[in-house]
Amino acid sequence: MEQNEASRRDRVYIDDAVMDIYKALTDDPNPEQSPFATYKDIFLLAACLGFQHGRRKQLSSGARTTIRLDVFREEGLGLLKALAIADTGDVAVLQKLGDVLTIAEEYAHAGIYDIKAQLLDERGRPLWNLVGLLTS
Amino acid sequence: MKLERLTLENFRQYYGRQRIEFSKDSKRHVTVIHGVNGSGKTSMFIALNWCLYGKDVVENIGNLISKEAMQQIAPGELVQTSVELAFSHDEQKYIMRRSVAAVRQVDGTIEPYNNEEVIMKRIIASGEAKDELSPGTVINAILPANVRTYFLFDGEKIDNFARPEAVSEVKEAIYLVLRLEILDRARKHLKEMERRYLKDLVQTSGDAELNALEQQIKQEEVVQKQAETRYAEVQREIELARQRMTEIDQELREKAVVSQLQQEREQIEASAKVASKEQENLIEEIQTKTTSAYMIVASPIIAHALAILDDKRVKGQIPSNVRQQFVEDLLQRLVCICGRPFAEDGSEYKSLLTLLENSVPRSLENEVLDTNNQLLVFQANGDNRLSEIKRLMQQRVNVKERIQILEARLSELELQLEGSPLEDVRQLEKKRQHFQADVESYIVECSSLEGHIAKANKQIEKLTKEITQARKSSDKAKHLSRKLELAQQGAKAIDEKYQQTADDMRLQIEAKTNEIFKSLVWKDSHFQRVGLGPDYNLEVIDRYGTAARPELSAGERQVLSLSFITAMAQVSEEQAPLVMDTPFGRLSSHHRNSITANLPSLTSQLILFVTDEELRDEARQNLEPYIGAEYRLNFDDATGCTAIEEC
Amino acid sequence: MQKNRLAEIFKDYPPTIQHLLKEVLQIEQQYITANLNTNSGALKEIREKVDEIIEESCKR
Repeated sequence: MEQNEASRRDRVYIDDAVMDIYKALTDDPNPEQSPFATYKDIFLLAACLGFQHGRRKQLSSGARTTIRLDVFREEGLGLLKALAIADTGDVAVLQKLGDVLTIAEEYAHAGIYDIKAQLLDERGRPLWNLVGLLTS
Repeated sequence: MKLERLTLENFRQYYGRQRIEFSKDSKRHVTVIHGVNGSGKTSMFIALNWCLYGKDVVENIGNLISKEAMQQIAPGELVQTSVELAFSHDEQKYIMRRSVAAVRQVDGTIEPYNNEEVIMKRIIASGEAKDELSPGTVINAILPANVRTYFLFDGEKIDNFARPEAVSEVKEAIYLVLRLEILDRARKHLKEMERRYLKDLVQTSGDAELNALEQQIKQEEVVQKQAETRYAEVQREIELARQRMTEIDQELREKAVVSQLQQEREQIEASAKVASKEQENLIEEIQTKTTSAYMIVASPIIAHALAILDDKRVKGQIPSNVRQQFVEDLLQRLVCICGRPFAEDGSEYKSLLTLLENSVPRSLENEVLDTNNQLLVFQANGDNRLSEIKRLMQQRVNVKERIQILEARLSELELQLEGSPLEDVRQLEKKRQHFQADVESYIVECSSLEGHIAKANKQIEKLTKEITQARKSSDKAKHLSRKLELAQQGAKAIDEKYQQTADDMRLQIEAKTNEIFKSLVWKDSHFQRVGLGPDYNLEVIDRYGTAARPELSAGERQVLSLSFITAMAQVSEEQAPLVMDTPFGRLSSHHRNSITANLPSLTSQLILFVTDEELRDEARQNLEPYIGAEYRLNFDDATGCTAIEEC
Repeated sequence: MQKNRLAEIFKDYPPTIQHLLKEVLQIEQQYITANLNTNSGALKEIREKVDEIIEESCKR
């Protein structure tokens, strides 16, 4: 994949403004309270939800947390690319890794609020809310 | 400092190289340089100043390059202007040379060639000349620039100190020459340091904060200890209670009437425990599946992406299995896929070329094929995940049901035992239930204690870090305090001594001025003494104790000034010559006479630039025994140049 | 008054103060003679020097 200097990237960014949501869903030792094992899992789910609801949000210019790309592995990376292809409707985007990552970041930045609403703000334990979301 | 020799080169009206040797004899230490007005006395005086201090210090220096020298050279050629001074100080011999060059232009104007340069050499015992790398520093240690005007003395300024408005000048003279300035600046800077340290100190946390933090951490440690102790207690209580329950179980089992019930209860409790464990495991398992929830939700997106990829392939934009390299090879070998050769300009060639041009870049091609494969794998995994989760959820429901059933039965059994006709059974059962309740609340308490302990640990960690920082600060604060104290004490010492020192000096100068003034003026004047009061007014007091200044003649005022200056020279103990440029010009002859009688004794080397008018008759005779060297400056109207002539 | 005479003014004071003042007076002398105008650069240097001297005096 071509990576020109300007868009060369080896990580995705999460806006620090939403990090409390990420932490709330992974911190607790009780599995019913923390359905997710890693931030990457949340990120990918958020990106998918964002895309599903057709909502994208730019990251603020403030502080950010990063997830290195190698954490995503093959399949995670594949999903990121799929999002980019679905979003642009074309394969040309595959040549710009920077764009692929930005698309995923922005969908994730919108989708994370869906996750918050459905898992944390609803009654019941996040784990069961998540299962409900998946099986509906 | 004793001046030995001054050499001028192309300096103003001094064309070429010309030299003056000053008299250094201990008795005949006066050098007289005669010249009519405009003949170059002032130029030579300026030359001396310039050599020592440079153009940045000497005011109104104007053009230094000899005009005659400029005339004599061709356009494009250089003129060197320099002044060289040989002098000695503290038994050391020095030679100093300041120079500047200029270029003559075609139109006759002068362009500076370089900035002025100065070099200084010190002659050591063997006769070798050692470089002094910082001539300015050396000169300023011998005769500082800011006091030079009191020794290299411009005659025009002779009555500067005796005017009524001269208070500030008098004060400044004393301040500078007697180095009060140094004390004053030292005090000022020490006070500045004091301010700075204080400011820093205020910002630095000291002991107070450290103590507060140490208090806090002690408190947290107490809380932690308490929680841990209680935790251990509660654990013991739980154990005890459980033990009691086991004992009661044993007793109930031994009672024939209820034995069976009891046994059943024990079995059910065991089963419930197992089921509970199962439930926990299930939840964990479910969590491992839900963590990759994205796989499930991504399904339609993957499908969509795959569709696009397919679409591109169908449209022929991505050769499905024909790669760019292959097509390039064909073109090169001019052979079709089927093996049939074709011509370079033929239609087959053209179509292959089109195919190649329309195909996407190699890198993208690979990318696309890889992505396609990835996504297909992804899709398969996603479907699996969802069905697994459903299965596990169902299991969870089953286990929950089982537990419900078990608990229901357990309640029934408890009721039966509670309601037993046998008193002791009822008692035992009641006790057992109490213990059960106790255990349950203990467990809750343990959980809460765990929370407290964790929180206390975190706090302790945080406070420890803060204490380390505060300790550093506190040390810093102590250090700053010490520095502050020192600066304060230093400034205070100067404060205490300054006035006293200033007064001491003022009185010394007053006394000396008085002495000199008396020796210079007409003996039977009606003046009593010279006064230099705390208001720094230099005045002459008559026998009635009043200031006589308005009644001083111009000449007397000038003599007063001169007395003051020479008094300062003596009190300051600067080893410097007195160089005076036409100092007698405005004095009456009788003042001139008395001054010339006394001046030589006031200094170790005296250099006088005088007009013939100034030094005549008795004045001349007074100086005569002390004159060691004499020169005349001859100005040639035609050339505009001065020549130095030894007399 | 010669520069070493200046330091003598303080001969009744504790040695630390004497040393401090002697050093500071010496610096001031140097800077007065080296800098005819008081520009802010010299001021800063003096402050740094005085700070150094005080620092060093603290160790005594």
